[in-house]
Amino acid sequence: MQFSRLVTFIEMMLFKQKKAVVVVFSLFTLFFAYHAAQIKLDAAFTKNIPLQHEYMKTYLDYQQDFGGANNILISLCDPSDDIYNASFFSTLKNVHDQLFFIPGVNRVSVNSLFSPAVRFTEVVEDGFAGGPVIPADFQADEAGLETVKQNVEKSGKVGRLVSNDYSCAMVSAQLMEFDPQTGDALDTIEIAKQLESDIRQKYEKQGITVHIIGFAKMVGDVAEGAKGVILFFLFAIIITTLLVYLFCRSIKLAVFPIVCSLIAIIWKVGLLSLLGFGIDPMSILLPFLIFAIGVSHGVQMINAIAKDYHKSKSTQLACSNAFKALIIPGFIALVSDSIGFLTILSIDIGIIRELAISASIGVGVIILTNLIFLPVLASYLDLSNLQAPQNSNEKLWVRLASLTRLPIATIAIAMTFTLFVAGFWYAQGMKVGDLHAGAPALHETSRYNQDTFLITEKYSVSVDILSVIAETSPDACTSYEKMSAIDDFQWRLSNVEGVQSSISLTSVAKIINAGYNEANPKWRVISKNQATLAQSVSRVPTNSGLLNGDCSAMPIILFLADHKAETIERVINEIKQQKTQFEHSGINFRLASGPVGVMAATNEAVTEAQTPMMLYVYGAVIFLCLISFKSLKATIAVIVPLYVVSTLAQALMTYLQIGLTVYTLPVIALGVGIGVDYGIYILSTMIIYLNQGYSVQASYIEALKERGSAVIFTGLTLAIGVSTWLFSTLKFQVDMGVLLTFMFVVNMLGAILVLPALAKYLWPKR
Amino acid sequence: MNFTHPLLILLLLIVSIDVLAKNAEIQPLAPKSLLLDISQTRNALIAVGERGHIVVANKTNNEPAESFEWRQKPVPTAEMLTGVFALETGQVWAVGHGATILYSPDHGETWTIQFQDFSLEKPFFDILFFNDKQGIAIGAYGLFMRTLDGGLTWHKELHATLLPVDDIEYLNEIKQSSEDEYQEELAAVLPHLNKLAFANGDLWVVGEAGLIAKSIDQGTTWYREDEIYAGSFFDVQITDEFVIVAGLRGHVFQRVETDWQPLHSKRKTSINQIIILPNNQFLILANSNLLSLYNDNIGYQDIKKLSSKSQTSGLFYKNHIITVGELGISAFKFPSAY
Repeated sequence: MQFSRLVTFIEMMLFKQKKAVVVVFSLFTLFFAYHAAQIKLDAAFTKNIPLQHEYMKTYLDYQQDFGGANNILISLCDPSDDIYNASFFSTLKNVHDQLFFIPGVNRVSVNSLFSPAVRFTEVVEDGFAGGPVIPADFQADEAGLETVKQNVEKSGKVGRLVSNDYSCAMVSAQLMEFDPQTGDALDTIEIAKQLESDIRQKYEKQGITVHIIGFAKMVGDVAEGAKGVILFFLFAIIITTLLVYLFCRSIKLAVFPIVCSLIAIIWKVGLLSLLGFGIDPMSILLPFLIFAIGVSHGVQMINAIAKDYHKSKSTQLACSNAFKALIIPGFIALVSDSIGFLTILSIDIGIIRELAISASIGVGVIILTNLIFLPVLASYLDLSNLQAPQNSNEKLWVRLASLTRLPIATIAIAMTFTLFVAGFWYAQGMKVGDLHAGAPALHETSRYNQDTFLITEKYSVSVDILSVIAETSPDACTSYEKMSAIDDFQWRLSNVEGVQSSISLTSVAKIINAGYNEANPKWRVISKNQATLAQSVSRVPTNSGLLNGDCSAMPIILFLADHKAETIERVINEIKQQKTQFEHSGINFRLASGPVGVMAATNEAVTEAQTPMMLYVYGAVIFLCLISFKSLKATIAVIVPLYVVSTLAQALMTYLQIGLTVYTLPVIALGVGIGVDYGIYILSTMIIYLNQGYSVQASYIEALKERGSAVIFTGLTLAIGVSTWLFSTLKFQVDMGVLLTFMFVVNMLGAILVLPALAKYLWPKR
Repeated sequence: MNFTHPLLILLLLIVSIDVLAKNAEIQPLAPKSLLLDISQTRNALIAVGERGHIVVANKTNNEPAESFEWRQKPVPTAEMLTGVFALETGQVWAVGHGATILYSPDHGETWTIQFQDFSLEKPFFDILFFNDKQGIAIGAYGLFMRTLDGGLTWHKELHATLLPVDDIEYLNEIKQSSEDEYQEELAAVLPHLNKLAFANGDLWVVGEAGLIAKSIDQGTTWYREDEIYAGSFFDVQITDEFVIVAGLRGHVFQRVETDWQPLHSKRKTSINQIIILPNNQFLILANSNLLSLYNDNIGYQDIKKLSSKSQTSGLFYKNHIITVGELGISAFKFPSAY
């Protein structure tokens, strides 16, 4: 009874000081709106990776030496399918120079035919001859181009700086993690913009096409796609408003949930801005969710107000009664949403944590705006011409209540069980990670992915690079024993299915050793003679990314066929199993760097987080149900349908080939957190009647009368809000949209179809 | 304590050998690894290459060469193997780095080490048997070994006659003062010996810095040809009509009677081997992915582009060309248009 006393006390306070409450809320809204306006887009590379993961420590340790995974590849393609013409070379040079001057680009790393460091060597009778591929006195005339053509052949850069069919040439660079001028984290989106405006738009002319890929560009394209979200947002608001109006038949009332939910978003964004967070393209969808949740709770509130008004005929009384009736179930529902989101914090990936924090803040804010502010604000309304509530749903409720009759309940439960078993079996096929080629955030048809496909097809480079770093003592590259251990390990790994090719200091040293012996392939060995070995290794510059300054770390770079989760897992497992066999001579092989290393770490983090996250979110939901219902039976009735739906969602992911990733994993937690609301609302009414001795059927009908239409309506509102994501240009938003829509609708069905059937079994005597 | 105790020495030897003495690993990609030479017996084709790889194709099923199944065989060394020589009867020898000589009595199925000496720090490049008992193996820095018992024992030889006249004169001066110094200096100045060819009693060797030499007594004494090119030669082939040598930067010379005629390739890449084809045509295998065919009427023309960026060896087999190189084996039907 303490709860109800507390509730009454709060209600007294709020409604007595109505004006003060409105003023305080308005001031806060203005304050947060001011800060919300200052929020920045923020998409740092490191946020997307699990920094505490073992692989990522390796990645960060050697980022300076070998470059990170944050690089940019620009391929220029000539319309004539042959790059050797003057206009192509002048464009190539311009792009090279332009890239050099984009702030944040690591200038040393800019690489193309025009880099002085790109040289050719050829064997002549008395040794080596060589020079830069493009000579200092290069003229783009017939003779000059012919010389370059021959030098390119001798340089061995075909497939890397020039496409295998000579129709394209590459300019590549690595990005720094920090802006060298300001020292702040690099503004990835700004770089992407510059790549688009200063390179693509400027040089994509006269038939020459410009293809840009790399993490920064991908984020830029995602950010660009995320802008389209605003349109969906407006669309969602309009549809939702329309639905709310149809639901309550009163424009006056309909305005409240919408306005209060928008206020919630302003508060949320303002708070985030104050806390120093930015908006990430990945989390830009959250406002939808917050809006939808806000509206659904607001609708419960105006529903209660309207129903009460027809009894009490006093707006003030109706509002305070509605507040008293809904603050507890509403609070519990929202807190469980919030906890559902907070469980995602257990995943050690910056972007997911941000998502968790910003979602919990959003939901927390809804408690204030839609459970407290809304009824207070609504009490100023004149509701005298409010239409009487329609009882047109009565028939439906009665029909639904037949689910509480034993034979029908049995059938319903049997069907649910069958669905669950089938779903559970099918869900075993769910994969972790990205299941498709190209950037998974974007559609396969997007420009970025098309560019990726073009580059991987035309060049011998793969974007799916995994490096294993051989850590050893300084000057290890002059030790035959160590070099051959690395070389043997590399060969072992090259034979793993899914590894297309590989490179390391040892494979290059062997070629150089042959080079010193008239390029005779019979000398392509690691010399057992230390001086000879040192001679071949010394020709490899440290900026090649194949060795660090004192040669105590050398990566084995593996080019994989794709970045599907199973490929990554297979290769990583082989590395883990086999590396100890090669670690005998003071070498330690460390996983993992390169883009696939990052993916492997992310996949592992996601896999590891999956079970604990589910345990936490269900633990939290069960705990909240137990304390609010004080009944194990009621808790079971709420949780069982919820768990069936989670399982079915996983089966759906398998069916639609949606992998478990940093984007889809949180969705499952969100789905559970929000999905539990329906059950809580229905059962919180049912339990009152059950406790008073009513039959299950009668209690259920009462619950439906009171909450049924609101619950159905909420499910639809939420589903409509998130289903607009299906039109997104971003693949991950589509995936999230599909999953959330599914979870919202099916959880709603679970609460009104499965819950009553379960209740019949749990309270069999009623 | 006596550090020269025989057991201690043995122990040290075992420990030091252990690092180098490992078997070739059997791996699926061995037929696609760097392979350096190929040869055939009555029953099988045998290719050898890096990491002690030996891959064998059975030719008794009369399949076309493209559909041969190449199987890697267990080999008791992981040293790079650079040359293979096979007798029709099934006896096969392979040589390579670590001064390794391997022997197979059964068409390449099983292998044992006949000779290996890491302390020489020299690789063998080629091996040739005159019959099933007498053979020679050659390699870097004038490495030259002979067997008279099918490879059970191998003896080292130094051939001063492989040197140009100037060097011989210089060495003779040293020889007059000290025989030991002479031997030392001789071993130091001898060139790389790259390839052997034997037909009609003539034995030819080619090697570093323009070396072309002929022997009519199975390599006991050599007659060095006058220098026609300062760069290295990597191959020599003998037909009934001519001898042909090929080497660095596309250089090819054909010897008709006693005259060396240049027949240089149009591409300036090292030629690793020449395959003699019917009708006096020949094919050039070079450090290039293009295969170039020569015939007297047209000269050179490219007839095939392979994925491998260098071709090290090959043979003509039942209207097919089988080559080995950087990316292992490739086989294709010789275009009938030629």
